[in-house]
Amino acid sequence: MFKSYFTVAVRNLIENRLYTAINIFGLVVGLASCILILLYVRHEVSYDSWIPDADRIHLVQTRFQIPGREPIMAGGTPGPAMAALTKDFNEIESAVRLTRQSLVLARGADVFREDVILADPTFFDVFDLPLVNGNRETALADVSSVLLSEKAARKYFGDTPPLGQVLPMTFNSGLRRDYRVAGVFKDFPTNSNFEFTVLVPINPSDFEKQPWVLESWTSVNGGLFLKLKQGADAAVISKELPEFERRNIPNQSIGGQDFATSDFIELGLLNLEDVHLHGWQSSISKAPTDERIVTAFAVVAGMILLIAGINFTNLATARASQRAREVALRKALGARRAQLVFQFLGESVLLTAIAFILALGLVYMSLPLYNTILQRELGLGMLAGTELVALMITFIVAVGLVAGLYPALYLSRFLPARILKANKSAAAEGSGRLRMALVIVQFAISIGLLICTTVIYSQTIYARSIDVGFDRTNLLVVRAPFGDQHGTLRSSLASEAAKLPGVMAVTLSDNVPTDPGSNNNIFEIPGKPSPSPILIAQRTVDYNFFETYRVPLLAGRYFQNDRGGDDFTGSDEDKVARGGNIILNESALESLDLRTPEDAIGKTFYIAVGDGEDQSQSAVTVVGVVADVTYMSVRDFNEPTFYQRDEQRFGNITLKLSSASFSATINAEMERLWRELAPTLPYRSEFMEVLIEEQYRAEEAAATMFGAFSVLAIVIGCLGLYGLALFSAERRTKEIGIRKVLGARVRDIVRLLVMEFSKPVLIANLIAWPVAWLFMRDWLDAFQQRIDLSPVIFVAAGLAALGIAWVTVGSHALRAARENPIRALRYE
Amino acid sequence: MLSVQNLSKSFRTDEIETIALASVNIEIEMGDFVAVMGPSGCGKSTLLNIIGMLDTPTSGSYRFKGEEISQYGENKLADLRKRNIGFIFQSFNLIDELSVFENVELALLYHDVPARARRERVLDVMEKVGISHRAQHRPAQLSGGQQQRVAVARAVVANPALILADEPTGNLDSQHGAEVMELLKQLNNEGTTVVMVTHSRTDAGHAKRVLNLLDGHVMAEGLRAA
Repeated sequence: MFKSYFTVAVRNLIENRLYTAINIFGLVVGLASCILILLYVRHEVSYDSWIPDADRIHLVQTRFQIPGREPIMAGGTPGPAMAALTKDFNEIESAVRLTRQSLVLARGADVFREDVILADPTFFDVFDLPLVNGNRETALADVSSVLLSEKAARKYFGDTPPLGQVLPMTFNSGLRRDYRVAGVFKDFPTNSNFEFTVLVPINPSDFEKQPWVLESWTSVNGGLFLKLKQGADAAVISKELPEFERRNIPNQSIGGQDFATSDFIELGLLNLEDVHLHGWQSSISKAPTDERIVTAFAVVAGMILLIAGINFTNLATARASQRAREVALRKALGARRAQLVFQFLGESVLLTAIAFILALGLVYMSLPLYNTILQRELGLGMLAGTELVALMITFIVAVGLVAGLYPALYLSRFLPARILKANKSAAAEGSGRLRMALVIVQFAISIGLLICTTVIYSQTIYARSIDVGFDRTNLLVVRAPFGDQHGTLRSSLASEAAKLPGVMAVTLSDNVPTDPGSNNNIFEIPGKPSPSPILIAQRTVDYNFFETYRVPLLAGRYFQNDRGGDDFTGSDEDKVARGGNIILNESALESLDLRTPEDAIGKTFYIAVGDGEDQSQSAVTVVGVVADVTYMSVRDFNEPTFYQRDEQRFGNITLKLSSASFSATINAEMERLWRELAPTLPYRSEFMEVLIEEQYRAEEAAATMFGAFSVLAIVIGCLGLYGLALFSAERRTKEIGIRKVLGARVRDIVRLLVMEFSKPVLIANLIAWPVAWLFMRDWLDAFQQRIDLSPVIFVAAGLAALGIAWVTVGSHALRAARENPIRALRYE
Repeated sequence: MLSVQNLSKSFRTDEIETIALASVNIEIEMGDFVAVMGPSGCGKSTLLNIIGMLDTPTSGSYRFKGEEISQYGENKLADLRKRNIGFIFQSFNLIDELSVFENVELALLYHDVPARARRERVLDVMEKVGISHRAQHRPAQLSGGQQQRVAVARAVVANPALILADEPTGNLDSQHGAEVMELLKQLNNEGTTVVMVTHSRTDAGHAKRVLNLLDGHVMAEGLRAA
């Protein structure tokens, strides 16, 4: 019995090669896409869930909610929060702060710049990670001990056992210390928020010159991770946080005015496993993935599976007439319906199983490209053997059983007497209607995906080409060290760079656009005390910065080096005594109650000077207003910003080149200069255009993949349509013959068949348009600068789908229409 | 009406050439009723297909209403066919998905007849063949005789000068067969030329002339008194 089923199944598959090919190809591509997407989704949702007790570890995030400003969201925590939280909440078992610093590591004559994580010695109490080498208990006890990842250990010590080796490191502050390797930890896997390779303990006394890092409630320079006690509820802490903030965050007094700082700071707990998808930007963890991208991918996977499943169902029922005779005969010979259902389900399961195995092969082959685009390291190895089996069973049940069930029930329902007597197929009306309904579903999905892909892609392209407020071309950024002690180095580098042929201008600044984070200062409008602080981002630029970056001037003037007041360099006392000139950006006008750029010129404000809780004030005068420069991405608002010139805060040197063709040469020249002037520091430089592109790379990759999978979904849908058109043409052979005998021309017939498949496409448009519109409106809402949701996209997607359907169906229609009608009509 | 001279038709499959018709000469006058008889495979259907312009001869001449059409292309033949010829098949060849009315109407859809006139003519013809009460039924709901009457209605609705019937009673019992033959005779009496392929001597008896075909040759021509 079983053998007969199997024989029939296999022979059926072989005999109907084209249908089998359509079915299997569609399933293989569909399943492969699903597996690829699932690998990605699984990777994205599994960030740090492998860390022991991840469910008990929470990151404390900070939201600064200042009236009149868009809230500032930081994926980190003010330094003093650790002591205060552990004191107030006994649910906390342990806590650790992580902060990142860019340090210079020396190994012999070689110098390297590394992003080093500084952590409290409690690191291993929170993160229960094993050491490959060394003792966890003592590893962070000593301020001069360092832990390296296996990769870093290899980089610095090769095959030499790293334990006990000495690694000198230099901080930006100029502090230099010989660190001793106290342990080696495993490299972080790709599904981790962390990717640091060097870990050293925080030594509070190192931060005396930068008190804001560990001691300021209004500065976020790292993240605090809490490990809660077994059974403790994070929600309980969250609920009490507002009260906690009021108790613990001291008021700030600026120029004699008191502000309740706690009103503007909102702490929140985020479970470690949620950080990658829900966390805010932070310096200690990798860039988060927009959860909506992961969701969109998962949805696309489901859609592809649905489309492939529909193909399966449709082709199986369409082919029913061919199987009717077999069913009738088996029934006549005594088969019960259940046996036939079993037989047909067996066939669909067999087909799915074959497809699944081929799909695994396809996944294996396409992974390298997939990983390159998505910048991940996904592999089938991520799935344990049992998971693979589970996945296979899921797919076989989903596709083989669900998609095969209707055809099985439908086929097994045939009444043998009718079929054998009528000597013809039981062309059931119902199944035709179901097929059309399913085709509508397929096309609605395809059109929807087409619209979404176009919108997402257009937005991505738009985001990349958006006006950033300055001329991004031919800008070479040399990452010079911050700090007063490097002032001479910076100015000699800058003056030497200016002498290089092909360099049009050289300027200095604290940060450059695309650098994360911002410093903010509190403004006071004379005679208009504000109930809440007016927070304005503070940026430091050299005289010629705006000319070099080509930032348009809206009113007043740029900084000039022959105007004494334009230079703000000096001690805090100097600044308070002298005051100075500033330039505002356009967005700052509203914060400062200024109506037009011209209004701003000559106005005087007070800004805070110095750190700590009691700050003095300095009078500043606006001499110019410039257009907004996009420092972050289009997702963010342009911050109200003021610019001042303060040599002590400079870090980056930007070179404006006369032409892109010199860029490599000038970069090499700069490196040579650097090695001459700063042999103990590593050279690092970047091109502004590349920096901007990198901001959008993840989104572009996601958009590309989303587009690719959408196209696949459409291709699979078209395959099904191709098969259906083939059946339809076959089924209607007689009708076509009759029509031709009655005088129909070839084009009448082609039109007839093409129209049969146009109706479902048109109906599908009506379903897809509103759904896609709703989704895309929400999606675009997350961007501050976005494209319009143009109806052209919708109509174009609909027409494209119609065109695709016509091309798919047209070839069959043409062949059927050209057929000599005699053949169709001679025999029944 | 039509004249076939020296007409031959051969089919070529791989190496073998099959001669279906060899130098056939036939003259059919306006208002004639010709029955074509002969054993299976003698070329009856091929002859009917060529006369019906569904197929083209390998050689020889075919003049239809004085026009030499043996070398006409597909589109020209289709045009000539739809204006002059109605077909009736052994297996009815109705479209299952369309109602009786729609099946009959189909023959007018390719004639640029306005909808109103179309409707009148369809109703008229259905009345004539006695299936008006079944207008909204599907072919599958009708008996074989009724189906063939629908097919006859479809064949005559465009007022063709010539009706070609390929074993019109082959799938019918004798009573229904007789009804269909009556219809054909009636049409012939009204002036329509009829050429009918049949195996049945009884049916052939209704014709004015009988053409016997054997192995592609016209063997004998019997004239019957009307």
